[in-house]
Amino acid sequence: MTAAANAPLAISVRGLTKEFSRVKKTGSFFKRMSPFSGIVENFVALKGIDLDVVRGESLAFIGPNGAGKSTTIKILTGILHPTAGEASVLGLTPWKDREKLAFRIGSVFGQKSQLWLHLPATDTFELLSRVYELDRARYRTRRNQLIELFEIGDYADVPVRKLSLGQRMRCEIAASLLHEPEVLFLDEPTIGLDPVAKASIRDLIRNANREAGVTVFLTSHDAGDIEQLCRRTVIVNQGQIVFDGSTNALRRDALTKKEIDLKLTASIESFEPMTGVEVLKAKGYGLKLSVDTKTTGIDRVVGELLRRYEVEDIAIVSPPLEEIIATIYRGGSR
Amino acid sequence: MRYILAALRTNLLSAFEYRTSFLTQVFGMMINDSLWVSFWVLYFERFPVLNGWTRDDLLVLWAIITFSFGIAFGLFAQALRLSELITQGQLDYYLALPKNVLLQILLGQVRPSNLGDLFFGPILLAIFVPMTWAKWGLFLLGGTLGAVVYLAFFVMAGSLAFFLGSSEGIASGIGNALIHFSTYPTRIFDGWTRVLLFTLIPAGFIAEIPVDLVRSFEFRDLALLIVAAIGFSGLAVAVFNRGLARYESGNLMSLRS
Repeated sequence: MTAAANAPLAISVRGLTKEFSRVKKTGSFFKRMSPFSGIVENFVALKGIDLDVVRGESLAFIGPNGAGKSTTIKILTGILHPTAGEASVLGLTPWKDREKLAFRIGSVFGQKSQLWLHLPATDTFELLSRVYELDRARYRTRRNQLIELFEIGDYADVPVRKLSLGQRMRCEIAASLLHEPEVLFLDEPTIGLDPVAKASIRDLIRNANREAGVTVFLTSHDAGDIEQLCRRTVIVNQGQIVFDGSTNALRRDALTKKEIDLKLTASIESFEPMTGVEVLKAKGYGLKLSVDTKTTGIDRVVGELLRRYEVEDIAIVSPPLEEIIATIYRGGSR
Repeated sequence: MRYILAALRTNLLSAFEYRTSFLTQVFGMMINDSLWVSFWVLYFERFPVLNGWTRDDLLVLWAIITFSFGIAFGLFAQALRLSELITQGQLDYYLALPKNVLLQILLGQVRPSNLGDLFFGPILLAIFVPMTWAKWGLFLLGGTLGAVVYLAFFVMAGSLAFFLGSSEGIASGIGNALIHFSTYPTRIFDGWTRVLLFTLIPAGFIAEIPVDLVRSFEFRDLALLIVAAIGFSGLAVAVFNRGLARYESGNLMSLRS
């Protein structure tokens, strides 16, 4: 799927390529200590990516580690210069018009905080208001609006180091929306969060997209983020786009498996087969199943399991992205 | 300007979050500086004149270099960490914001111990050296321009990391050479060493010329100092920007502190 014809584009990318040079070091200690040791090789992180994102769209840009997701985000936000190719974000070339573009976009890097560790989030908001040259009255209104919307009033004045990861991430996203950006880049915003915090962060991102019309460009390792936030998904692997289509199509074709992890109160002797259910592991009190949701509903399987066994704990998870990508390759659902 | 003040405010609030540590570092550095000055005072009691320099000249020198150092690395402390930030790919935060990257880096942190230097200089002058208002003005101007030269030199040294990769050791080595030379009356050196002190290791612009300005003002000295400060900062900005295009980012987890 590509962006709708004639729709205003937020992002347009053509032939985007990024190469890094890296040194491979092998051999004995003495060999590696030699000034002439190591083989310099070019590592191609992005191999000519083409992509259009329409204004107001919510796009998941996903892939396994080292696929080129973060490199793409960093080029689109002006942090990195590409080796070749063109990119336009809101009509600007990110690496040439970095400062101009930064006024109009927001970014959240799950692994890099923009909040000051020893200060309350409100102090970072205050500094950012100066960075973005916000009018004082407009800034105060916006800050109060975000504090209310994100429900961070109770801890917005507490030093960030004393917040939980979920609370910090709410403040991070509020900070990134302070200047009312037109495009929001999110790199792994739910990394390390528990399910409750994940759900709440997803709500906030969804609201920013659907109610404020912010274009969302999201990278994540979590299939749940994609299913719940983005209507369109682009999968990148080894620097190339391997899937570009609706998340519904992805769900239909590739996200058809769920895993159920059970901890039982008694050791399991044997597992009576169920339609669409495959046993991944059955050992002692543990039972891990794979459910084909095309064949059977997850609710039916869970209901049956609860009827058969006394369950101490249960978790339902999506399979890892690596498996989804393998499914796409096998099924050719490009 | 509003951004600069807001960044300094945020830095000071962050550093002051641990008050005891903050104050200990500030006063600790002032005591450290006092010990160095005491050593020189003892020296001048025995040898009252050194290549035309007296005890008061030495006190002015220490007041100026500590004041310059305090501005440069008390208020703009991240200049000392530039090499490390580049090597570890920690410039992403600054690149994502709509302000000059180098300015943001320099304004990224205050260092309490060097704020001790900043306060030490004026206190030393106020207590021990007879000063006129004009001399105070020249002290502030000379010290500020010296700070610009300090910062420019450290930015150039730190920017080597863009070209050489991990070069914290080199940056710190040449940075220490500048600090070391600027704590001595540079007139004790002659020949090629003096050439070096006004070019590759520009300690002369931090120590000698600002002291001369306070001792006996000459417009030529002031012009030279202004030209040097502008020249070195222009060069530093050019080197940094050239290197920034080679920046490769990184994946280190990080928090602002």
